[in-house]
Parts: sequence; C-alpha cells; structure tokens
Amino acid sequence: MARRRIARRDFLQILGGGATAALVSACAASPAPAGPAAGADKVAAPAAAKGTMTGTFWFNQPTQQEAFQAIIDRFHASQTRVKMEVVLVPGTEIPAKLATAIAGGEPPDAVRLGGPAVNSLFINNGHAAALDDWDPQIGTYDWLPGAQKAVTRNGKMHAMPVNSGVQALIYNKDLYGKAGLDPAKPPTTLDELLDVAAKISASGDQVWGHYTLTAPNSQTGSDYFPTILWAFGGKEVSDDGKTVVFNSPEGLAALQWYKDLIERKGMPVKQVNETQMLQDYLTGAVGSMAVFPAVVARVAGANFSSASVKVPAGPKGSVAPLGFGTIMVLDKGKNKEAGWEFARFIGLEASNAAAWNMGFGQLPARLSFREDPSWKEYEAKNPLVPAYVESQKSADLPYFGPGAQEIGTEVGKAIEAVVFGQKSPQQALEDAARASQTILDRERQKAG
Amino acid sequence: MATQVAIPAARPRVGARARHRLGRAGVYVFLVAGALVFLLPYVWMISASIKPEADVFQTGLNPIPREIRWQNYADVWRQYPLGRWLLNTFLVASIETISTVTTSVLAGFAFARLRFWGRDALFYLYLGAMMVPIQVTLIPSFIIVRQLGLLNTYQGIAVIHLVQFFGVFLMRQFLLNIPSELEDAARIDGCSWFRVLWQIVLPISMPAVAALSILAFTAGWNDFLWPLVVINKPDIMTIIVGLASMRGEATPWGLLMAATTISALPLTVIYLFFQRWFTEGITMSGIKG
Repeated sequence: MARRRIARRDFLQILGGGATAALVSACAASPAPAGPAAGADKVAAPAAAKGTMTGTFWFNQPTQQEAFQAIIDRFHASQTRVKMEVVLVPGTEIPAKLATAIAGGEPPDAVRLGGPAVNSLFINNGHAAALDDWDPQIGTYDWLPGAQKAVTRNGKMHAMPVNSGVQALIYNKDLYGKAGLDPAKPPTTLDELLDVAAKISASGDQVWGHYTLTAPNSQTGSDYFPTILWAFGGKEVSDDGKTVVFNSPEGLAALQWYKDLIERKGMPVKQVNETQMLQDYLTGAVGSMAVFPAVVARVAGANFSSASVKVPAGPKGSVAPLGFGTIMVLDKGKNKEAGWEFARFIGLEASNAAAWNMGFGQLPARLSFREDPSWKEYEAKNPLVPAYVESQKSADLPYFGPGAQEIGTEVGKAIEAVVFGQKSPQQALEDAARASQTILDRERQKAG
Repeated sequence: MATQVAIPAARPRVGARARHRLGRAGVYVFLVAGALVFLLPYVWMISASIKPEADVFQTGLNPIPREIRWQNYADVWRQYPLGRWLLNTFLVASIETISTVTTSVLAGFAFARLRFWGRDALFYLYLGAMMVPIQVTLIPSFIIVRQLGLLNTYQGIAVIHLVQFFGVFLMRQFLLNIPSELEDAARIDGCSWFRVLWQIVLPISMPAVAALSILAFTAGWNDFLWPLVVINKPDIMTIIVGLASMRGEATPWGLLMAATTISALPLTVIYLFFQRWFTEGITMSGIKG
C-alpha cells in the first residue's frame, strides 16, 4: 500500500496552525511584570535581614578604579552585613545604560552620578529613592547649599552628595618669576589677570599667560563661562527659569573679557577644551588656568612649581562654579537597603568621606567634614588644595534646569566665535541668546 | 581625366587627449585629497599611540613624534585586559557573522527565487524594519534578553544580531542578478530548492557572501550601545566598551590610542585580504534594483 505523503501545502498549513497556537498561548500568558511589586520587596526583605545583603553599585569613573577599590575594601572591612558588587561604567554612557536598566527592570541598587543635570534627569523621573525614608534628619546636615538644593524635591533629598569641586586659579610660579612678576602675589581681579597674562605672553616664545575654555561645547558654556559671567554680576537664566538673561550688559562685559584676553595676546586664538588646557599647562607653557580640583595631583607632579588661589574677582566679586557628585539609591533596586548602607558609609561618615575625596582629588560635600584630621593632614601635604576649600565658601551651582547642556553649548559657540573674531561679542551673545531661548522654551514645555 | 583632390592629413587629436588626461588627473587629485582627509584620523591615532602623554595634544598635527614611545603598547597590554576584550569581541562577532550569513543567504534566496503568498509585502516590511534605529528597540530588546536570562552572557550580546535585515537585502539583490536558467535546468532535473541553493547558487554567490561576512563582522566588532547595556561583568566586555572605559577625568590618551590601534588591526587585515571580493560583492548587488 503506498504511503500517504503529506503535501507541502498541508505541511505549511499544519506549521502555520501550530505557530498561531503558540503565539496565542504566549499572549494569553501572564503579562510581563512592570517592575518589582511592593509585595515582592516585603518578601525579599526578611531573607536579606538575616544574612549578608548583596547590592550592586555602578561606578562612573573606571579610570579611577584603583582608588575606588580601596574605598570598597574599606567598606567591606568595616562590616559584614552588606556586600557591594561593583560595575564600572564609562561616565559619559551612564545615562543611556542606567535608563535602559531601569526601564528593563534591572537597575543597580546605587550609582555614582556626577553633576546636577544627570542627577536631575533621574530624580525628576521618579527613579531616585528619598533618603529621608532612612534618615529623617538628613536634610538638616551641613551640606554645600548648592549641592543640597540640586538633589532636593518637595523637601526630601533624593541623592547623597559625596564629593564636590569648585574652580580655583592655578598658576605657574616659575613663569611668573621669568616674567618679572611676584609669584607670591597672584592676580586678585580679572583686570589684573589680563595684565599678568599679557606680561607672561610677552616674556617668551610659545608661552601664554592664561588659558580658559574656548571649545564650542557645553562644558565651556556651562562650567567655565559662569566664572566670568558671575564676576560681572550676570546670570544665565532668570529666577523664574523662563527667560535666558546672559545677553545682559553684564554678559556682554563677560564676553568682552574673553576678547580682551585674546587681543592682549594673553591666550592663543585656538579651541581649547579641558583636556587641552591641562595638557598645555603641564608642558609649562601656560601661566595660569581656572580649573576644578581633580587635576591637582597631576599639576603637583609637573616639573615646575605651581600655586593656587581663589578665582579672580570681577566688579561684583568672585563666585566659583560648583560641581558635585552623588551616590543615588535607585527606587527600584532589588536591594536598595544595601545601596543606602553604602551611600551612608561614604556620605555621612567624615573619615570615609575624606578617604573618598582624597582618592579622587575632590572636596568633601559637607562643610564640617573638612575638619576631619585625615583631611586636614591631606590639605597640609597638598598645598594646592586649601585654595579650593576656601573657594567652596563662595561657590554656586551653574544653571542646571531644562536645556542646560544645550544652552551651555550655544554659549560655548558664542565664545568660540568671539575668540576667532568671527562675531562681535554683542552679535555672538544675541545669537546665542536667541537659540538658547528656543531651547529653553522647548525643554520647559517637555518637562511640563 | 580624374580630378585629384588633395585630402588634408588628419589633424592629431591632441586637444581631446590632453583634455582627457587633464580630467583624469583632476579626478585622481580629488580622490587622493579625499583619501588623505579620511586617513588623517588614523594617522593621528597611530602617531598619538607612540607619543609620550605630554606630547599628545601639542599644537599642530606633528605626525612624527619628537620622542617615540613604543612602551605605550606594552603598558596598555599590561594595565588593561586587552587580550580578553579582543577575544570576547572576536567570539561575539564570529557568532553574529556566521548566523547573519546563514540566515541572509537562506532568506535572500527565498525572496529572490521562491514564489509565495505575501513575499513582496514581507520583503518591504523587512525594508521598513531596517529604518528603525536601535535606540527605539533598545529597551524592548533588553527586556526580552533579561527575561531569557541572557544578560551578562555572550549569547545576550549576539542574539539581537543573529539575523540582520541588511544582509537579507544584500543577498536578495545579488541573487536577482544571477540568471535563473541555471536553476531552472537543475529543477527540471529534479533538484530540490535547497540543493539548487547549495550546489549552484551559493558557489557563484561567494563575492556577496564575502562582502556580507566582512560587513557583519565589522558591525559586530564595532558594536557599542548594545554590549554596553547588557554587559555588567568586566570579563565579557567587548573591545569597544573596554576602550570607552579607559576614558575619564584622567584619560591616558597615549595608551588609549595604542589600544585603539590594536583594536583596528584585525579589521584592517581582514579588509586588505578580502577587498577584491568585498568590492565585487557590493557592486554586483547594486546593479539591479
């Protein structure tokens, strides 16, 4: 008897029917979990309380892995209840990776974030746990005002500031001497800085008096321009956050200062970013730069002598831009209790905060932590540091609201245009303000 | 008496030849200039990789270092798990390449030769899917991979690139250029479609397969965003993610450029060996739209 063969059409029909049945049954299965249910947390908690809790911590400075490992070892040596597993993430990629992990239901328990903009991104979207839930007094401690303000919403702190940085003026004492200037008397005003820069530039070939950032990027406009803008009494954005106001007479005076620096040959006509500024300074060819403290160790190791002082004052005084880093406990972390323990260890214990900041070349985020003996000893051994600590007292946060980075880029472009003589300060400022207002309006609308 | 007409001697076509040479010279000048522009970043990369740190950002191009520091290569190999990163990347890129080529050949042949209901609609759906950037599918893909338990695994990195629509498109376009008479003869002789593909079509499709292999391997080697989000363990980090982790507040630029040069070497070697097939495959795929 001939074996009945299954025709190809029949086979395909059977296959199609089977696939459809599989698809329907998959769709009818329990829906994908939106995130850990409240009940799940309560179920997990008793098990964690009994033995060692293991938490996940994302660290955003892989190049400082050795210093960070020392901190982790210190944490583990201090107690046995919590163990933190560390994941190193390239700093610039943290927003993308963290956002994906949160949306995908696999966030870390805690993460180190740098700067108000990135912190705000996750706080404003409800991903950061309120630290007051663990320590109701946390808002009363002596935090740097700018740092505390940036992480507080509705009276609760949503991240633990653990380090800070301000700008100070670092200058090359050897070049000052060669230019006939007294290294013990650095410039205290912006006008004096222009004079000094011109004299140093005139003192030798391929030598320049002062570097500041001129690259058309957000760092130039957001982190460095405010030093000059505030010195002339200007502001980036109005108090109500609705209007760009850096194109004021004060802003014009600030941008004119850049032009004066170039016209008096205090600085070469070129794009300078933070990396280039430091590299050129370390060659010994630059008289001074206003910079954050992370570079102190490299400057101290140069083959010439440097000193530091508060950033020179303008007509309205001297206010240094403040930067800071935090440890944020993620609200959806599976073991956020472990995240809190690590954040508390670094942020609320003076000696640990000192160790953290000494390891990374930063400054403590709490004013009283600077009195810790280990920090005092560190300051004594690193003569460039005290000026930074002093500058913290009159530091403020640059604008970090909606559109902060893009607005900073527009300001950076304006500075570049003035430095290269492509536009007058007035024209550059007006163009930047127009573009920035559009950005601000758009971002404010998105934020609701 | 026949009238003799003096025929003027043919004028040499000097003008046309000279214009032709001038035109070709202009084209070559343009191409060389363009090549130099594209080569400039590589020149800077290699130059920076053998400079001391303080010289990396000196003003001006300075392609020839004042002091050559080969030690950068030894240092980066010692200080970073470069070998592990390269091995991980090679493994993942190889898996993706083999899978992409296999699925693309099969699917491309089906779209080019087989007739089935909805064939063209399905193909245009594939084309549409090619336009969707990875940022849109990143989170759904992450959720799926997480639920499959593939986070922090080689499979998790490779899984979303096992089938690549561009490969299907490339193979289909190439196969449409091949005359169907060969296959018709084979089919008349009783060959199955799979045998036609394996014994007739595939051997003459090697240029396209080679081109696709190079493209798929390159894409797998250079992939950054997806490995970044699925990898948390340093021992399965790929080379591009590893290079990104070398950047920070104190980036060792000389070492980073040395590592980047090392990471670019395998692709450069592969392309140099297979460039004839690569060009042939891409060209033939583009003849018939």
